[in-house]
Amino acid sequence: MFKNRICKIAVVDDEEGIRLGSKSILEAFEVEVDEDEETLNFQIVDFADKNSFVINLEKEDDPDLVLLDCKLPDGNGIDILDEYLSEKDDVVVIIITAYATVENAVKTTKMGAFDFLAKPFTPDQLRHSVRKAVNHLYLKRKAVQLEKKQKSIRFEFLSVLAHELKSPINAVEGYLDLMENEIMGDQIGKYSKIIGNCTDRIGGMRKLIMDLLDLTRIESGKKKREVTRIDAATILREAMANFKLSAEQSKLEIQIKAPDKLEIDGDEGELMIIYNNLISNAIKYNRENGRVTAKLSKIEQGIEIEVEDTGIGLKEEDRKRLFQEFTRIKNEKTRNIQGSGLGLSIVRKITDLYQGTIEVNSKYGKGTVFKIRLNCSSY
Amino acid sequence: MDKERKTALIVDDDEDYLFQMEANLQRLDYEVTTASSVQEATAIMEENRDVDLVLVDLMMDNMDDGFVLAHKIRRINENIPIIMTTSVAKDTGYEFDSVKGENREWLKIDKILNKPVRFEQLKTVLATLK
Ligand SMILES: Nc1ncnc2c1ncn2[C@@H]1O[C@H](COP(=O)(O)OP(=O)(O)OP(=O)(O)O)[C@@H](O)[C@H]1O
Ligand SMILES: [Mg+2]
Repeated sequence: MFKNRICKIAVVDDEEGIRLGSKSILEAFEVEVDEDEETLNFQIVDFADKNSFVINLEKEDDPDLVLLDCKLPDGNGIDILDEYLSEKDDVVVIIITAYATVENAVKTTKMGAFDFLAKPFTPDQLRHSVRKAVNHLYLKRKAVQLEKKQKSIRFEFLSVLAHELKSPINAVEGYLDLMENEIMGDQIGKYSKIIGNCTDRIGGMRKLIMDLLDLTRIESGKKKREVTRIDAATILREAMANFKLSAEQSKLEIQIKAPDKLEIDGDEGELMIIYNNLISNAIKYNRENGRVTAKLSKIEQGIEIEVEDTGIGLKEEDRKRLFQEFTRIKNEKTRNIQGSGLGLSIVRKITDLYQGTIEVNSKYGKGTVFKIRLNCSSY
Repeated sequence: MDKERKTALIVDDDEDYLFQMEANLQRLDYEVTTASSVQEATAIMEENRDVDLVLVDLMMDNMDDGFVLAHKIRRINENIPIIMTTSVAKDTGYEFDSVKGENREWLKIDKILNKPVRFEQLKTVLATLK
């Protein structure tokens, strides 16, 4: 945040005593900036008049901090502030004045001065004021940095999203082009696979949009949570039942290990989303004749959901990335499996709503277990 | 072997696209082989040198797989027409200029097409390559 952990201070004052004094005090001074363990040192450059300071401002790197005297032989500190410094967001100004009137204070603060030092000041007053200014600057720079980072994350998100939306459109467009040019003859029956593929891609796109809406609603806190007494075991059985057909198609055996009834205080929709995503992954990333086991049990702080599969597994290095938006592990085994890569990021966000935890255990090529613990009252 | 029919190799990790290009090229009277990764395509090129045309997708598992593959293919066969397809040229602002610029010298890509590639476009391009 400060170049080489050095804060550059310009002292602009026509009194030599002030310049030399500040220099020796501040060069021996160290500040520990918030959160940062490391210390910050000071480098002082001094100017006896307006002119030399202004010329320097134009040719060298801006200082981080300016100690600016109100009255200079060739001008007025307030004018310098107004003309040269008020536009610079990244420079903090402390006004030095022998006439610390309220009026002056209001005027210069409006122009962006951060603090005042009334002449004569003690070394402690100087250090105190500089420490305050440095912390202020540090926090400000940190906020700017954060904002930049958020902007770039947002940009990345939108780029990936655009790509994810475009690819099904491209696919459908390509199929329509085949039909338009009657590439496979003029019998509609010849196109049934193509039409099926189009429907699949459009379905995938719809799912992506729905997931995206879920995600943004959860993230913005706009999704109304309806926490009521619900039976987590029955909901699990319902969720599993919805996957019966696709499990049969993939020749998978599905198993539920849950009590007949396990009541909790929770949101039914949220719980369903967690189940659906874990189960759908366990089916999608499985092998033929494999198995999916879903377990639900009561634990001290609430419930534990466990979904185990006998599928392709995950490599150690991929395991950490799973919960980021749009993450899909690309390899030979996953190439032909459809998905938008949002499922687990939604699961993570919902788990966070319950201050819960997610644990992933996996053997590459053997299978994966997702274990989610939710904090909630269970009965 | 029927020398009248040319063979095309299509390399892409998008199943839909492979299906579509295969149908289009068959309609244009090509024998078609498909591959969905650099390794697969390289193996095909190495064992079967009488492929007459290659269509390569730029971005597969890695950002630049298409370039890597094109380079390998060039080493195996200097003169085979290579068409590179991409869906990124427009949205990232990259311009893959196949006429001037350094890429062409280095890679000798015969044509770069933006996805989705339409049948009529493909037909025209293939006619000019001959
Ligand atoms: N049970 C599993 N076994 C192996 N890999 C998995 C499993 N679950 C998830 N993955 C990997 O994690 C990635 C992210 O999963 P996630 O559920 O977020 O997205 P998805 O399944 O690709 O798409 P969708 O948004 O439609 O669920 C998957 O693409 C897959 O590579
Ligand atoms: Mg999923």
